[in-house]
Amino acid sequence: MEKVSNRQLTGIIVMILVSGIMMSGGASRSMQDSWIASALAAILAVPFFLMYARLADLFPGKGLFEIAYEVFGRFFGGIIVFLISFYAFHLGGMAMKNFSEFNMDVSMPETPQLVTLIMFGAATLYIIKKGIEVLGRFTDFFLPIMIFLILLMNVLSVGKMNFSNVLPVLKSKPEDFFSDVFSAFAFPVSEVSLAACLMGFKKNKTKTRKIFLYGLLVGGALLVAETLRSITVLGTHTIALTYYPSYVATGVINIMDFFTRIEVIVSAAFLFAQTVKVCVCVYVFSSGTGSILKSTDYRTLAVPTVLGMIALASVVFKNTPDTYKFLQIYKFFAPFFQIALPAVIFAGAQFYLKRERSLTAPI
Amino acid sequence: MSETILFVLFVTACVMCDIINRNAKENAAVVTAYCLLTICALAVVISLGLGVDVPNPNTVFETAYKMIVK
Repeated sequence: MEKVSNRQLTGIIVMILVSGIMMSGGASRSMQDSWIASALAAILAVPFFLMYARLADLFPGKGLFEIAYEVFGRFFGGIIVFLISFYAFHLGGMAMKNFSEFNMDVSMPETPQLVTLIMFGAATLYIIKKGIEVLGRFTDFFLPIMIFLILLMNVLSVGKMNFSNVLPVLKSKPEDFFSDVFSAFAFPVSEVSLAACLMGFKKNKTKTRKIFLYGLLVGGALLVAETLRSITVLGTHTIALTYYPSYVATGVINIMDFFTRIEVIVSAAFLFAQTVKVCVCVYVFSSGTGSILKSTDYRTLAVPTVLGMIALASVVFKNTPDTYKFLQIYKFFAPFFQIALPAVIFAGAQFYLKRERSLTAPI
Repeated sequence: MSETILFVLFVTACVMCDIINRNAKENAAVVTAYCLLTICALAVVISLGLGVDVPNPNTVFETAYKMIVK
């Protein structure tokens, strides 16, 4: 049985959260308040993260899917597993497309996106085929590098920061502000719900709460710091003209005309984070459909899952503006898969355990 | 078209590796799902390579959104 340490699981959660850095602040309606919207989204997610953690603690050694089957049985559990798997597949396809679109926009405009998708898909396929332990070690290795790079970007940007860009604070319209809060909540904060499917691999018997809360704290802080950096360096009017504010904000760093053009550093951080997110999506879909079809190993369906995601990524968005446009729709339907379905499992688990206790209690 | 051929080669390589390195005996449903997903992926990418307009799955969500919200 594969096992992943608590630190690695925390790292996976941080990576999923950080995968949103490239688009954070982009197409924001609340302008200078978008960093507060990101912070509020992270705070709003706390009760839901505690819910995922509680579920994992109630059923030690089991992931979200195993819990769904145990609580609701094969048929109704299968429906829930299918819906979450479908969401993971869609999210994986979109994440792949985001990456290939970003790659084409900023560095390789002549390279066909399908080539980038194949290379990216091959890397994720290799990780998943080697097992979740490898994903954990990948995270363990790259997370400190990624955190260092993001912090380095923030430190190097200090000279270019203009804190008057965040003023006036909370002057945006409430509907615009809360629209941004829900956008940040759906993408990327609540995408962490997929990590609940990995909790069956948890090695240590400590509380799962720490994994989720530390992950949210570190990932949320990095996300807010990146959004704040983009606003203070570029200003809201420039951000409105760019698709990747974080990347552009890194591009203006210039230390004595010697240390320049270091955007590739933030691209590397995005690449690591996106790889982990897509790997989690591939795992969730292949293990979910595999469990519905009574497969013996989640790796069996990994190949067609990645191929399907590449195909989906080829058609899911036309271009980057289309991605931002779809985010306005995504924030309405994603919480059903991220929050509502795990909440149904959680409610069912409470009744299930209560009934189990009453049946086993001495008369 | 060259990238479509690259994708077909990638699919072939992945499936061949899977067949050679298989270590678990799976039931018919899993094998069927495997084949269906692979064929669907191939069909989408080949259609795009041939210039056929493949419908965007997000239109389902967009339509639902327009019906509910607007």
